[in-house]
Amino acid sequence: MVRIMLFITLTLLVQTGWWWLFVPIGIGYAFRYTAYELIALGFMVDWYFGGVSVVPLYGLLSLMLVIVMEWLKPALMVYTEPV
Amino acid sequence: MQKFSSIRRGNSRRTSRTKRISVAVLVVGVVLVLSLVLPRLFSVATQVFWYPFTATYVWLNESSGSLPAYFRDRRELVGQINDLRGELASQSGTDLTIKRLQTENTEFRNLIGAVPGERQVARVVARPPQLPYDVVLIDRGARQGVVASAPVYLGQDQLVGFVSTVNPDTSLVTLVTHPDFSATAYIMGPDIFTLTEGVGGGVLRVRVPQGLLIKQGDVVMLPAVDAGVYGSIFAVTSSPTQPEQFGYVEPAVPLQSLFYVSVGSEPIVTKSFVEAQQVVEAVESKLLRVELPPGVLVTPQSTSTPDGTPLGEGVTASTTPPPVVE
Repeated sequence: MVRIMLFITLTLLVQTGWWWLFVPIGIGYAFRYTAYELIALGFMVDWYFGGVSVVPLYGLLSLMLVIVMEWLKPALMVYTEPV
Repeated sequence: MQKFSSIRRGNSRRTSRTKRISVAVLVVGVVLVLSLVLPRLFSVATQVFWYPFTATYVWLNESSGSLPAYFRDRRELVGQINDLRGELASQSGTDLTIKRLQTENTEFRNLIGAVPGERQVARVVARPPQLPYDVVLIDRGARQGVVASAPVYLGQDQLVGFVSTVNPDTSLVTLVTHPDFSATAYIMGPDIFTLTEGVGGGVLRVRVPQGLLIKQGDVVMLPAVDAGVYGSIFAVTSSPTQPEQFGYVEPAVPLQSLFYVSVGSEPIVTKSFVEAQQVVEAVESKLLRVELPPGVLVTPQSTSTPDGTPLGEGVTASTTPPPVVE
């Protein structure tokens, strides 16, 4: 539920243009979840605002963000696990 | 077994992450290819996805409904309040500037009225603690006619120092409170001549023997210059076991409030005792005289009529002495 609400919030932030709020929330969202939907959102932004034929910069950017977060998660997460 | 199991679990986590990333990149690549092949499909899908968000945004910004109207009006009113606050702050700053200029103008007018013709007004551009010791820098120099050893006044008759260094456009004024400065002073009250010592920080000290009564409020003059009233004693330190007592004198205006002074045109000339006494008597005789505008001062001469008839109840302008009653 939280994930859905956060995703809707991120989409509304894209609509309002508040990038200064979208970026930190988006990074936290990608860190907390495996945020494949952020990639979809990035492509939707490119296709809606720029058209289908443009180079999907936001989509590729979100893909890179997800990949970087997947690599960084083990280093950033602090957790305990029974041996 | 546990060790083997943990190694396997670790390996499986690394493989799973790589696999996820690889799948994501592959899917993105496929989607991109399909978007080039079927652009219309993706365009429609994008519009369908964005429709609820766009509709919400338009509803909030342009709808005439009560809730969006409330949010819009509130945002507009908050913006107006912030603008008005900014205008008020700038207006306060403007008012402050106007008041400061008016005060400065009044000071100028007073100074012009009080300064005799043979003096010139100078602005203090630097003062302690920007300058060491008790010296101030004024914006008048040799080009404006300032000469060394000229007296420097605050107002009409309050001597504050003398010009010690003259530059082309500025001059350095050594105040009488300079630690190395000593002057002859006359203290009204005990009516004695004594020497002053500069203490610094705008304070002068007079030293008198024990037994002489000096008290707060006694006026101190510097008779080396004409009309050289300096200030009044604000503190007295006296110990019965000591042979002398000290009175501390401060000017009426603190150093930090010293903005304009008047500079005499002639250097200070050392006076003899007789001349100094004459200066004291002259100042004493008019110390409490206040310059009044014409028509304000009421004297018998100003209210007299040519035939000497009484002007009112209890008022007579006759100059004949009253008869002596035996």
